[in-house]
Amino acid sequence: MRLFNYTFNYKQLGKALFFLFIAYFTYLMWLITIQYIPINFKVAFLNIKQTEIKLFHYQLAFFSHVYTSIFVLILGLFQFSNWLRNRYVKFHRFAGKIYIGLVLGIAGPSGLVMGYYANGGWFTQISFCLLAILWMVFTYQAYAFIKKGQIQKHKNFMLRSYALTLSAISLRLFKWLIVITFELPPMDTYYIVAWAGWLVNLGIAEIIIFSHLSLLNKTKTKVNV
Amino acid sequence: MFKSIFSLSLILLFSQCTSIKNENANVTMDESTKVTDGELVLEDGNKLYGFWVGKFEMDFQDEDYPIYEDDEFEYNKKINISIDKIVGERIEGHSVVSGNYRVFSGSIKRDSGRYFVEAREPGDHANDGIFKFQMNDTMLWGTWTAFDKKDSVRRIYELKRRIFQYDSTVALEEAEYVDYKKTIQVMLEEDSFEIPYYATSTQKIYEINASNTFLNEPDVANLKKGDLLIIRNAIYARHGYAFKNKALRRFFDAQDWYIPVNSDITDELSATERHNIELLMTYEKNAEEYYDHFGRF
Repeated sequence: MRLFNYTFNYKQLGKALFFLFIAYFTYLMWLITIQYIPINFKVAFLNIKQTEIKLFHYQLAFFSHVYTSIFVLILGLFQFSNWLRNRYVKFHRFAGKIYIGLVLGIAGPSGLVMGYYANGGWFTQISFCLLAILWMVFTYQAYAFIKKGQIQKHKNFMLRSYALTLSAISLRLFKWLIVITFELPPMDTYYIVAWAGWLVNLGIAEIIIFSHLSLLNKTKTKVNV
Repeated sequence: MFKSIFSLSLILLFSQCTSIKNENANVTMDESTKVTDGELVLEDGNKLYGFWVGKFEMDFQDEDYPIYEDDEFEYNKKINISIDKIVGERIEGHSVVSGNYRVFSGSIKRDSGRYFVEAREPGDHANDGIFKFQMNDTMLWGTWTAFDKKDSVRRIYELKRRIFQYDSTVALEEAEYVDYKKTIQVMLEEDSFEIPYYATSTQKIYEINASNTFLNEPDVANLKKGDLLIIRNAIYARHGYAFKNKALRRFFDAQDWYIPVNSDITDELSATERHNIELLMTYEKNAEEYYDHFGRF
């Protein structure tokens, strides 16, 4: 019990730290987002997308992606709180529907369009397109499972979905780490983070899912014994 | 008899008198035997006109020389002395050094095959001074002393005549470039004579020529801040731009082909160069803003 109590606190502390970590970088993402308000084609990332930004469908994709993804990031952060989920079920469902709606309706498809026009050629294009597709697939799966009442599977796919949502942060964080340590040229860095930015996150999500599963099996066997 | 000879010679004399001057008169004198009394022979002026380029060195014989100027080791700057006009004993020209274009005027005298020049800068600039140099057809050498006595800066130089011509194909040479400022600081701090190497740019600066190649986005997307800066400024250097920026000046002064000629070269840029400058500037700004920050490239 005492051991149980200790692990419980440790887990809570870890969760709180992770929450603060994500919250801080979400704030940085917010700062990146407001660079594009009001709509301006000559700012930040768009400075090196001058050919693409002339296309109307790219403009549409870019700005709808930027303006919605930040809310997907913020909403997802609160969905993993057990307390919030148990105490305010309605809020969890409402926020979840917005999250799913934004990903499937706007942020995902626009991400796919942007992925098609990604800098760096086919190597990065494939990565970003795959990212967008998996993002939508996982999010839809999570929705489908909760509709069927399969909570554990819903949890797992939401974890995968949010792991890909967080690639917005991890991609930039990895890029920053590579630049300050190895000082790689920008495009070489981009090749790495285009893939690592979401594969690492997805890997972590799978580890969490797997460990939950084994934990679940352990408790089951204990109960049986 | 006498009379007849006299009259004959008179006839001969007058018969020659068809013009008032010999149009073909030609008096030759050996170059080394000319006596000019300091008076300049103008046809020689042609050989003196033009750019004389070389190192503008601190005079280490001068006891007052400062080793550090603005707390910084002074490297040997490149100077371009241009002789623009010689009329009689008067000489006019200008010098380009440290990104400054300064005119001078003074006197030129000739003595035993050499020319002696003493010329002054206007004196309305903090770094104005007086040039005293000698020159012949191949060499120009002498001193420059600042007007400002408390500065007591003296420079010496030995310049060669150089023809400046814009060539879009000139590539950078892999000159040894050491950032003396940083080196000195490190040496003082760590008390070692190890010279650290500062790699702020990559090999790309020797491969990409933005004067004769039309650059597209993929050509510049993988370039680092330093590369973009050097590639763009190499365009200006080919046109003989006299850099105001100390670091750039240092970098290009080390290039053999580089001659500082003008402080404004805007009108001389080609269409390709203009395009490339705009592209490089965009990526430079982006690199400056985002390369080592959380925000994406």
